[in-house]
Amino acid sequence: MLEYELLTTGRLSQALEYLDKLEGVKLLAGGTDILVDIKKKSGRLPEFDYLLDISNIDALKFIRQKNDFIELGPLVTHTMIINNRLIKDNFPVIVEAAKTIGSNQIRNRGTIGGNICNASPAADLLPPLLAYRAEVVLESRDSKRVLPLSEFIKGPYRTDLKTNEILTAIQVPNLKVNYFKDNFKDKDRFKENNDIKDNKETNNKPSNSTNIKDDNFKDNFSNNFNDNFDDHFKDYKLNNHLNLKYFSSFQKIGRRRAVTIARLSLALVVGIDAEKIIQDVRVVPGAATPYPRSFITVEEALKGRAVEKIDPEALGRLAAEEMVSITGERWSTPYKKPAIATLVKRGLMIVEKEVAADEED
Amino acid sequence: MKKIKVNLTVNGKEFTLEVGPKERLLDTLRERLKLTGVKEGCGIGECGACTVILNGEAVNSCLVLTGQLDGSEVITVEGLEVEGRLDPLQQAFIDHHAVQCGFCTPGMLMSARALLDKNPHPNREEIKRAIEGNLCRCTGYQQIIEAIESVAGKGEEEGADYFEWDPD
Repeated sequence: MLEYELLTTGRLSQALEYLDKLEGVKLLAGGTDILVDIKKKSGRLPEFDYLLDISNIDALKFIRQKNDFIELGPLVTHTMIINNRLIKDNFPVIVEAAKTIGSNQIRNRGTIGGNICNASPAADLLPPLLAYRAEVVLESRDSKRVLPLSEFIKGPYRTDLKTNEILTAIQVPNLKVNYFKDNFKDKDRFKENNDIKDNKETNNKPSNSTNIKDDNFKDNFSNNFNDNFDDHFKDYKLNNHLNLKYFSSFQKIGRRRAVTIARLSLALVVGIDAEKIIQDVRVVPGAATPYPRSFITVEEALKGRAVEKIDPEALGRLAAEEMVSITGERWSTPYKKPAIATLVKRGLMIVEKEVAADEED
Repeated sequence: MKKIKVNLTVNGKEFTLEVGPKERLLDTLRERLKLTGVKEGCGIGECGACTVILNGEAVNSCLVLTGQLDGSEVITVEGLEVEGRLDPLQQAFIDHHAVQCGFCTPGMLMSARALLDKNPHPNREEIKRAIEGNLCRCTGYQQIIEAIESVAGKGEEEGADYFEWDPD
């Protein structure tokens, strides 16, 4: 018989203090996973003595625009994601994935932080968040660290969250900044700059939640980095990568459309330059591997190719091979191999179509 | 086990409760407040029979601990009727034969009510989506969708009772 004490607080500092002082604490947010596990007496649920309810901490419910990323509080519900313009305009795959979660009732309660920290292999938000190279902010009473989501997820239902930590924010970087960071810029220097700018902002005023347009972004970007570049480097690379245009798709296969666990899903994000060469690509299937991750061989095969020259069918087969190389042959492999091949093929065809439609406009 | 003190408004009435750490909103409503219109089907958020409106949103009351809800407002199917007059949705369910065994009906009504409160004129797709978390094994859903549609089509004046509903 499971026995525990329920603790509840509206203040983050108090929650962190509880975690600091007590042992055997399990965090509770929307409850759409934990209460099911409790009811089913799931072996997945670790033993705990305290259930710490953080669902009333208002400071963890926010969606805001920062300079180079959009930041979401962990208590943002799936419904809030679906209704948010900022996310829809910048990171449509997150919205598409959120729409497929459970039912209206589940989406009203379930949170992005819970979806991440539960770390189910079939977690619906993980593929899009990984595709967008999201980062997580983890705080304890005396520390704060930022980690790429890909490093935070350690395995099926396992994360790097320490027993005294709470996930306090999810940062989804602007696609172009992220691409730049990955490819051209000295990463440490970028980070330093970013931190200084961030502090200034929080001291002066709360960050605004309005959408920045591309021009604004360009201005912000130049202001931030003008001083730190060689000129020729800036002119060539910066202009080149600022011209990237992004296309994306999300697909999910389940037993039925609603209230279903993903049997397989795919988040696909593709950035092409003016010559329609793929410069930036993220291919992240869900429920295909013990925990979702980028399919690197498929990404590498796509990079540098002209959109109209790719072979979606062959890339689908490549994805199936990559999946099996990670999981080995399992009972579900005969189903999942052709299914993932088809998702990748379809996803790429959707992107091809979008690129063609965009050209006509 | 330590009890948690919770102030809760249910169907316009305020309650101060001392609840245990495992007590779900569903248990509180059924066992303590005797609001047995709220049904327990699966108990794991699949069937929607326990749907209530929590702070304006449809939720599965089996997946919420009452201890989490200090200061919250809950509406159950018992709260739809105003002074002996049925909510237009309830009347429409009767008129369209949207009730057979009736077990899913309270949850179905609350999902529909939550939808119409946010979006008074939903289209058929939006209606279907709003009740996708509510299972009905009798009707085949058509009558339910038509019942909701009939209220949705009528505009604010028909639903006005509820929108201006003031428990005091």
